[in-house]
Amino acid sequence: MLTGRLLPHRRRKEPAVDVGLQAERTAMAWQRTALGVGGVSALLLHLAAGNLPVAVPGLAGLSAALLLLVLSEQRYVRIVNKVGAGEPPPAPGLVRLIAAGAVVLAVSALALLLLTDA
Amino acid sequence: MRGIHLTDGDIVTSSPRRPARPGKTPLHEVGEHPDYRFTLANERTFLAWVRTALALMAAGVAVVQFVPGPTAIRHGLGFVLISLGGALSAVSYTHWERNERAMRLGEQLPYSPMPRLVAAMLALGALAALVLTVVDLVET
Repeated sequence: MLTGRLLPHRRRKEPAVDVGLQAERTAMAWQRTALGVGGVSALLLHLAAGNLPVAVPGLAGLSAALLLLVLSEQRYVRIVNKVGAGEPPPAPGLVRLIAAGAVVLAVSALALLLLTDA
Repeated sequence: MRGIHLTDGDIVTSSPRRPARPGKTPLHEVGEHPDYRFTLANERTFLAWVRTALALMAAGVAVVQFVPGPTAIRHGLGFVLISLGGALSAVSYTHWERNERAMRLGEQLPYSPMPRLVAAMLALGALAALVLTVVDLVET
């Protein structure tokens, strides 16, 4: 029982654990994207130059990046488990979210540049 | 006898003959689950596009801040890059959605003009930044 808990995938049918490392590559793609979001947000934060209201998009973006790192890790585990059990991977609701988030980031960047008149 | 078909596709009844307007049905009701590797590959491709969009935004901010030259031109170039990044984020989602739909229906993946478009815009943007930099060097 204990080993079953520690190694949940070993009990699935044989080619269970992330064959071809698809899930891992996908998780890393999510992480790189999170880093990208964090990078752009940091840039926006830099533009804000300590002005708190103007710094809101950058702060929100950085928080989103952190959240995304956590979510991508959770998603990785879920994908490995689902696929290992022979089920389809979970629906990628995050896809829509990150696309919308990136659009918001672009709009904020435009607004910030206009505001700060860099 | 062609009575009632108890397959997934027929639950939506309306007209299985008309594959037009596939955008109407929610994605998870279309076709069937493709090989999960394809789903994940599509997801990674989408993420790569989002990263490209993010890089364009960062480049836009950098152009406004660091490229020499008249303010109007710098701002114009930067704004174009950032807007392109925003548009690309939105388009990459629809692109992902279309790919996923095609995969679920076992159809050919739709053609994408995105790579050509982005490459062209980037080349133009880089050229503009280069010209601004060289002009600045010559003038000083």
